[in-house]
Amino acid sequence: MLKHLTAICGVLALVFASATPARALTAMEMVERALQATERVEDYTATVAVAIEAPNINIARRQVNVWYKQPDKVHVESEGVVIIPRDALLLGNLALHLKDYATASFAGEGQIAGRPVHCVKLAPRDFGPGSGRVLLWIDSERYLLLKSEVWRGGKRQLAARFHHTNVRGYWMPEYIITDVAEGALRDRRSAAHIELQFMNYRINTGLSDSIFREGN
Amino acid sequence: MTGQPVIETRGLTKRFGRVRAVEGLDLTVPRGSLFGFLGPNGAGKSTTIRMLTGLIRPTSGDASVLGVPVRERLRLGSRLGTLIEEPAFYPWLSARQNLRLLTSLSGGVPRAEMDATLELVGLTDAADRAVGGFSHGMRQRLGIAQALLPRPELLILDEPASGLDPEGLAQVREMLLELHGEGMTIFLSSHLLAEVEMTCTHAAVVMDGGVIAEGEVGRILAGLTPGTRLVVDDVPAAVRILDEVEGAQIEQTGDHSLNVSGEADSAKLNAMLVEAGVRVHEVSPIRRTLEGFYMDTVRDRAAEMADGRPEGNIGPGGSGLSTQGGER
Amino acid sequence: MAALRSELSKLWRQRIAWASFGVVLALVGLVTWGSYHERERFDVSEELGSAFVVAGKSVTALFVANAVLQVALTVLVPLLVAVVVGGLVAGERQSGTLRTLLSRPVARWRVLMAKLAAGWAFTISLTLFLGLVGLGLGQLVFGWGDLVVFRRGLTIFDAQTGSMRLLQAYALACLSMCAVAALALMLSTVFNNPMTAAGLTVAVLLVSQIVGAMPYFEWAESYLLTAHLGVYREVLAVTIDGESLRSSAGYLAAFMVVASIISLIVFERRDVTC
Repeated sequence: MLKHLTAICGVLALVFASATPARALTAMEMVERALQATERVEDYTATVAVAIEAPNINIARRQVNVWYKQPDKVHVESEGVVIIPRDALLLGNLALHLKDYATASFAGEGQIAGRPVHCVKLAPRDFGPGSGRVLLWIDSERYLLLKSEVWRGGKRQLAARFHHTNVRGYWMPEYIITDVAEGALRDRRSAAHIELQFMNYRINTGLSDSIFREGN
Repeated sequence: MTGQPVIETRGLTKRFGRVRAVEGLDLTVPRGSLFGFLGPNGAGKSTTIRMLTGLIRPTSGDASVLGVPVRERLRLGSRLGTLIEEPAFYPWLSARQNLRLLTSLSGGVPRAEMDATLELVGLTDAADRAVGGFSHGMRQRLGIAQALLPRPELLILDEPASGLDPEGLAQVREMLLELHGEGMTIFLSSHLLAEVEMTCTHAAVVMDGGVIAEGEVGRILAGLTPGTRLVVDDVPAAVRILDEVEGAQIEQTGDHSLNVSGEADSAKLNAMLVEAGVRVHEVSPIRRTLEGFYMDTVRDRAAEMADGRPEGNIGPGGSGLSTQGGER
Repeated sequence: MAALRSELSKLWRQRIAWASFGVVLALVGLVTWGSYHERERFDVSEELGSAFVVAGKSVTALFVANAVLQVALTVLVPLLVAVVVGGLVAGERQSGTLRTLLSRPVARWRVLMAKLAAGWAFTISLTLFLGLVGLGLGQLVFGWGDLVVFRRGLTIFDAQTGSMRLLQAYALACLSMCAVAALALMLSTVFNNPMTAAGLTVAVLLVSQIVGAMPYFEWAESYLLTAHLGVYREVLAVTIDGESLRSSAGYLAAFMVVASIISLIVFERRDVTC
C-alpha cells in the first residue's frame, strides 16, 4: 500500500512539476533543466547533411558521418571538406556555456516556431565592457534549446536555431541553422551560413573512446 | 650568254653606321655564266651576296636577281639557290632531315630529287647521319645540296670551297662545271683564284665596296701582257740592252733576276742578251694567270688610294678589261 | 603550316625543351612529397579556430595542382619560357642557322610567326604539363577531393567546381606565360645571344615586380606586366572579380599583340650579318 502511495505521490509530483509555470524556475534552473535533457544522451552517431554558404566557400550540400560522446568528444568523417560549428554537434554545448558563464538571468520570453520560449542570458560573474554573452532561448515546456546566440564585443558572433525531433524518447536536433558573423572566424573576411540536417540517429550505443582518438 | 642579266646592281650601297661595306656597286652577271666574284677580305663580297639574297637590306641603290628586285625576292621562289658562307645546320638532325626541313619551307622536294642531289654532292652514305658529326667539308657540300634543292635557275655561292681539302675542292669544281654544263647560271665568291680561273667563265674584282674590274675570264687572261723571267750574270747590262726593245717593261726582281713584260718573245730576248755577251742562266715565260691579274689590280687600286686619287670604281665595267693588269 | 611544323620539330629536338619538362616534373614531385609530409600544415581548422569542427581532406589532387601553379608561375615557368623562347631567334642567329633559314624562299614574317606559335605551343604545353602532373601525382598520393585555397584566408571549392576553376586558372596561366613568351621572343629578335635575351626577359620581369611593389610607383602598377601575370588567381576566389579579370586578360592580350608587332618589325628589318 505504501508502495502504491509512493508511486501515486511520485506521479502527482511529476504532474505538479510539469503543471507549474516555467517562470517559477530561476534562469539558472531552466538552463540546468535543458542541460539534463541533453545529459541523457551519452553518445550518438548520425548522418548529417551539411550545407555551407560563405563568400569564400563554394561547396555543394554534402553528407558526413558524426560520432559524439559525452562530454565533448566529436568525430566527423567526410570525403570533402566540411565546417561545422562545434556547439551544434555538442547538443548546444550547454555544459560549456554554464562553465564559462556563471550568472544567468531572464532576458525575455516569446515564441519560436510556435513553441513558447524563455530567453536566458548567461554572462560571466565579473564582466567588463569586452566580455561575451550567451543568449539561450529555451522551450519553456520541453526544456529544449531552440536558439542560441553568442555575443562578444557588442556584436553577435554566432546564432544557431535548433529544430528537434523525438528519436525513441530522446529529443535530438533535426535541423540546426547557424549564422556566423563576419569576423567571427579567424579568417576575418568571411561570414557564413551553415545548415545541418541530422538523420539516422543511433543513440547510446556505447561508443568506444578509440573512435575519437584521431579525430576532431 | 644572251638575254637579260641574271644579276644586275646599280649604285648598290650598304653602310653599317659609319662603315661603308659596299659603295655604289655596279655589277652585271650574264645569264648562263659561271661568275667569279673576287676581292680581298672586307671588300664587300659577302655583304653584296647577302643583299642579293635578301639577308641584308641595301642602304641605297638597286639590285635585281633574275629580273626581280631584291626587295621582292620572294617572287623568285625556288628559282634562286643560295649558300652563304659556312653553312649552318641543325646538328641534331641528319643531313636528309635538315634538307627536308629547309625545303619544306618552299613546298618540299620529291625524295628522288633529294637523293639525286645528295649523290651529286657525295653525301649519299652520310645522308642519315646527324650533321653534328660532319666534317667541315661535308657541311659545305650539304650547304651546296640545300642550295640546289629544288634545282634553281641561278645559284649564288659565297665561298663554296672555303676550307675544303684538295679532293673536296676537285669535287666541288667538277660539280659546278657539271651544273653549269646543264645550263645553270652560277655566281660565286672565292678566295681561290686558281679555282676561279679553272671554273669560271666570267669574273669581277671588288675592292673597297666597289667593282674595280669585271669581264670574261678568257678575255682577261688574253688581255694580260705576256712576260719573260730572266736570270743573268750582269743585270745592269741586261737592262741596258733590253731597254731598246719596243714596249718592253723591265723590272728587277733580284740580284740576278728580272722580269720583262711586252710582246717580245723569250727566245728573241735570250738571243739579244747572248749576242751582247750577257750570260743567261735561265729563260722562262711568265704564265698569264687570274691571280696575277687580281694581285696587280688590287695592288694598283691600293696605290691609287694611297696617292689620294678620287674614290670610285676604276674598273671599266661591262666586258671591258682592266688596263691595270700586270704580267707575271 | 610547313614553317610551324619545322619550328615545332626543331623546338622539341632541343635538350633545353625536354629539360624544362624534367624540371617541372621534379618540382611537382617535390611539392607533392613536401605536401605529404607536411599535410598537417594545411589544416583548415587552424584557419578557423576551435569553435568549428573541420573534417575532410584539404590536401587533394586539385590542391596539389593549384599549389604547383602558385609556386611554379612565380619564377620557374617564366624562367624556362624565357630560356627556350628567348633562344628561338637569337639562338639561330648565333648558330648561323637563321642565315640558312632566311636564305630560303620564305617570308620572314612567316618564320617569325611560326617561331611565335611554336614558342606559345611550348609555353602552353609546359604550363598544362605542370597541371596534369600535379593532378596525376596528387591523385596518386592524396586522391580526389575538394580544392582548398590558402590565400588571403581560406577558400574552399567542392571537387566539381574546383576542377572547373582550376581549369580556368590554368587557361589564364597559359595566357600569362604566353605574354612572357612574347616578351622573350621580342628580346630574342633584338639580341644575338640567346642567354642575353633570356636573362633580359627575366630581368624585365623582376624589375617590373620590384617597381610594382614600391609604394612610390603605385600609380604605375597597372601598366606593369607583372601586375597582370597573376590573373589566374582571380578565378580561385568564390566570387570572381569580373572587371579585374577582364582588365588583366585584356592587358596581357594587348601586350602580346604589341610585343609581337615589335618583334615582327625588328625581325623584318634587321640585317642577318652573323
